[in-house]
Amino acid sequence: MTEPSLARTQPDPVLEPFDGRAPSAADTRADAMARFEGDEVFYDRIVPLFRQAASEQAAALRRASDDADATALQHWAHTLKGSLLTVGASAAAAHAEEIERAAMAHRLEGIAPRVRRLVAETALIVAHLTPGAG
Amino acid sequence: MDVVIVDDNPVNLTVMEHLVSRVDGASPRGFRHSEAGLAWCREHDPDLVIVDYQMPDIDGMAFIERMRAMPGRDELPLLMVTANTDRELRRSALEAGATDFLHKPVDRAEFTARVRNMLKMRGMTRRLTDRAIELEQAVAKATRALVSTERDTLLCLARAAEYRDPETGAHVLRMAEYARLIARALGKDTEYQALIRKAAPLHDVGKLGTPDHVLLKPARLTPEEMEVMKQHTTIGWQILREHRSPVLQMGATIALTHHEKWDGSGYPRGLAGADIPLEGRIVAVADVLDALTSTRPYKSAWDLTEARSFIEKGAGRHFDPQCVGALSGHWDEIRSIREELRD
Repeated sequence: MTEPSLARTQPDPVLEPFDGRAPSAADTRADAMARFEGDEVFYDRIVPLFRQAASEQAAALRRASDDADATALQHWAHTLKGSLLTVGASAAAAHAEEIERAAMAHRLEGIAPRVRRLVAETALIVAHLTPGAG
Repeated sequence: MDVVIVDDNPVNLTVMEHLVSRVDGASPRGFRHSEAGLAWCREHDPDLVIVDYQMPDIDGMAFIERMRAMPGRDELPLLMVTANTDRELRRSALEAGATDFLHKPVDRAEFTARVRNMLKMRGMTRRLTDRAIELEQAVAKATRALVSTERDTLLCLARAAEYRDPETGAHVLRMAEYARLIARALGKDTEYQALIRKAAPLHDVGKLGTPDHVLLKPARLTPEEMEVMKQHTTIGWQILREHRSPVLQMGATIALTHHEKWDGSGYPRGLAGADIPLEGRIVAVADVLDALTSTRPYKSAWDLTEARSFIEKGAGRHFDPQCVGALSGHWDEIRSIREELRD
């Protein structure tokens, strides 16, 4: 791993983004570029927007988790999932969908660490997808 | 062509705007809030609407229902974007009015092809609608021309008959307006009023068949000549009766019956009361009213008060009392018609 894992900066021992198999920055960019079918103009247009929106959505998800608000959890997990899929981050998007489904079913026990892990994954992807990398 | 895109996620919205902008002739109009998208659609005429399913406040399903409830939005293509493959959800969306679905995350090629196809379909629908409107307008214009020609032709026919008489061309116009006024005052519908206005001028068309020595005789007619004169009613009826046009049918009835009298003393058949067709009873009043108030070589015009008195005295004898009663309250209107349609 050449890229630093954000999980190692967190105090919570359950946080290990991508279950310890975090993709490199190059892989993350490659996934995004594949999603954009090599369209660099598209990449340069979407990535800055993604960085801002995903960070805000992850923060909102974290707040919903802290408040144990199932409706907000479902909404922000769904929204973040959409953003992650847009840049080809399918593993993180799958985690977002698990949280969305759990929140929809009002199964909130054990959801907080999963949210924190997703927030960390999102932060890592945001860090990897630098503008102009296309 | 305007493509409205509604998605609360700014990333997804931008992706779709970008893809739509690359379709020839398509202009994306993105909205993050359903209400704003609906407001724009109320004021404009979009060609395609793409809406996310899961949104706060108004979700995609409710959005589609509201769009379809707007007037003139039956044919508008509405695409719902959803990651949900649940069949029940898709069926509900179709029932709500969704045209089709797009899977999320959107695939560039599929998305672009769907948008292009939907816009092509929209363009064809618009062209068909425009063509239908053009045709409708052309038919309406042609119909107006036909109606106008029919009225002109009927007036020509009526004037041809009047030309042989001391009466003037304006007589048939005035008495037609009086007939319509009476029909309206009797509560007849606008179709009937329009019909009698067109048919009334034909009342004396049978005079085309009256010999000159009788029609133009400057002295009182002998009983035999009077019998010849009376035949203009049946001649008029014979001229008009064969035709299927509602105006000519009514014209035939009027020609035959406008000299019948309420008490049965009229001609040619001596019909009485309600046995006389209503249009004959109406025209009897309208014709006499205008004859009395018009100048003739053998008499000066009566003023309206004298004519009114004569008509009202004739109610129940010469005229249908209801037709005479229908004039009450409308004498100012009659005065206006006289002034507008002077000889």
